[in-house]
Amino acid sequence: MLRTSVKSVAIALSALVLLTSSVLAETITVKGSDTMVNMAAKWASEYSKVNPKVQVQVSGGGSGTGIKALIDGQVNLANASRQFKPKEISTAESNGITPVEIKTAIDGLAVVVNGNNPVKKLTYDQLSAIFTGQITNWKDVGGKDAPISLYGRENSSGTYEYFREEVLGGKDYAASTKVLQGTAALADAIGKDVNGIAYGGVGYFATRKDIVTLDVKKKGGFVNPMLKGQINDRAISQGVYPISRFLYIYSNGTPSGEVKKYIQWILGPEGQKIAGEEYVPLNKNTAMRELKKLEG
Amino acid sequence: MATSETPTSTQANPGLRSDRSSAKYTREKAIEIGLLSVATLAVVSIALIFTLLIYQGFQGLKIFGGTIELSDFWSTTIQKQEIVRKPDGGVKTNTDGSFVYETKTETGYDWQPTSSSKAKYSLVPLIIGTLKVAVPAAILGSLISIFVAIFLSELASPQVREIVKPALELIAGLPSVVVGFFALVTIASFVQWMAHMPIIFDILSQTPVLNRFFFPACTFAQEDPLQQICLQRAQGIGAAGTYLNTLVGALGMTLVIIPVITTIAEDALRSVPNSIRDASMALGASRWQTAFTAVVPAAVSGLTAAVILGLGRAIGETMIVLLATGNASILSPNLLESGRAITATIAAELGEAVAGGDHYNALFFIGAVLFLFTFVLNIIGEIVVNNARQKLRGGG
Repeated sequence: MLRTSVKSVAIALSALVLLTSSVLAETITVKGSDTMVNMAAKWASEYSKVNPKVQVQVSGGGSGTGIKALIDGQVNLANASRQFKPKEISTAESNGITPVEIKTAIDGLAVVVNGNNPVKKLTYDQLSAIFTGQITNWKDVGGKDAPISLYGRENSSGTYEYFREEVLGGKDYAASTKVLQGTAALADAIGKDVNGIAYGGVGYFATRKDIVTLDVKKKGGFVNPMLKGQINDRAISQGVYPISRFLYIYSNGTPSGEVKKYIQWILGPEGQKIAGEEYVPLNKNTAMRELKKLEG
Repeated sequence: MATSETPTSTQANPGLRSDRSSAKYTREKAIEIGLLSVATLAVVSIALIFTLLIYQGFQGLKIFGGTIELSDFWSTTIQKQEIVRKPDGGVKTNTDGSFVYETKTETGYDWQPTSSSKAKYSLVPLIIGTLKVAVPAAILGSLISIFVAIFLSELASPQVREIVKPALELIAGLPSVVVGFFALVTIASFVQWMAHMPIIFDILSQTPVLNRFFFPACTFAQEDPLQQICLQRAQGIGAAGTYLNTLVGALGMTLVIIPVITTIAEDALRSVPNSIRDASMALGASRWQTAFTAVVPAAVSGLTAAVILGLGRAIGETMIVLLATGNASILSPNLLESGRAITATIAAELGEAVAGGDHYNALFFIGAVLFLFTFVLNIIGEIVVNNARQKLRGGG
């Protein structure tokens, strides 16, 4: 959280500088998810090279913050790592705002353990029992006789919420879960704790040698979000790997004018290439479907 | 003030009250009013903060139109899905390998404000987490600080004082996030290394009572025979420590409160009248005998106040506990296990809690509880300090 807020401050400052340097240009304001803030900032800076007349200002603060800003009509676009909740839609409608959802990238969540842990694969059933604190020893899931040490995210995080709904079936996390600030801190902790287990965006774990992403099984077979040291784009974007979520941009009504052009660019090859640096780009069919949405 | 106009006069307010029409009087009055309003502003902001905490915090309560019962801050009855175990402790499974669950009803002391079934707002784990960091830090910090203060005020030569004092002030100026980072990176490894030294591990894990409060983490190497021993002993008492724990936080916190306690304690010792020292010396006591048998007893209430104010600081500190304690909201008394402090909870959760929602209001409520904690401690500290001053002046 700390890292991302520092980043968002830096981005806000640079946005301010850009703003003052080009008062005449049209500006698009974007606010929301901390998960997406790096990617969104990169989109903004690359897009200003393609289309210098348009300035895109990006700030973070969390999905909820961005959604609220869109509802209040303060921004053109909201970044969100989760969908609108029914209550938020009704508030938006009473404000005369019609949120339109556009998928922009896919975030695959990996479950990771220390490299020395012999356990390399777990089912949803086992993951749920582990993270709710029902299974507390690795031997119950085919590992050594050692206590399981749980690590997770803050309860305000979209990742926390998504993983709970998707994998734990909505049940509460065990109270003994150690809560760290951000996925990078989780990666560090798992690297040091031989009995640890954690979850988080696969991009954060892809380069680490001391931790292992687990094969996960929902219904079919076991799938790993990594393949030969690379993020397994195909498995994640086709939904073969089960723990993944879309990253969204929301606009008020079907976007038009410069905003529409900007989103078209994001869904196009250049925008998707940037998305692929940290996350998984949309597969072709999904990208086409999202582009069609823009035509109303 | 105004020394250029009256360079030779050092007496206070020459002619100020008699000559009300002078420009000097007006200026002095303006300065006075300006300063008064600044002072008032400080007091008013404290009052406003307190009002806001109470107002926003109590809005979440059922009696004030929210949905949280006051008793929810203590405990809630929850329905829990538990895995069925075989008599030998193994896990019962269905034919497809999935686990068998049964539903149990129990009283839970959980802090789970964003639960998708029922939000749980028990303050019990948060208060335990706060105290698990603050109390050990205050004890350790006081021991060190009071000796440092005695040394500085009674024994140190002026040259030594000139080095030690600024060094302490330097520590006081360290941003707590830096100390927190230091704790996370360095102290955590150090504590683990210490707890894993065979002799220390044996003492910590085998001494009754002590092992409830200091049971180390079983993170020895897999092939290390101590790992198996640790696991067996941990099973015996039902808990084992973790890498990030409240002791790590407490050690970091100690660094932060040492300057706080030392400054006040040194003040207390210095305000002991010299007559007491002279009397002691005259009776043939050496300097350190005087310090420990005459000066310290005379300053004991001032020293108490220093400790209380240090404890208050430790309870209110945020960054260190947020970074170094692991933040798990558990009930364990084991200092080598994780803990979630009130301050860290607010810092971590307020940012994304929906404004005006139950979770948001609950965070304000625990903020009010925290404020009350530190407020009472500070008041007690102030009272003790004042009593000490009066006693020394009156009795001296």
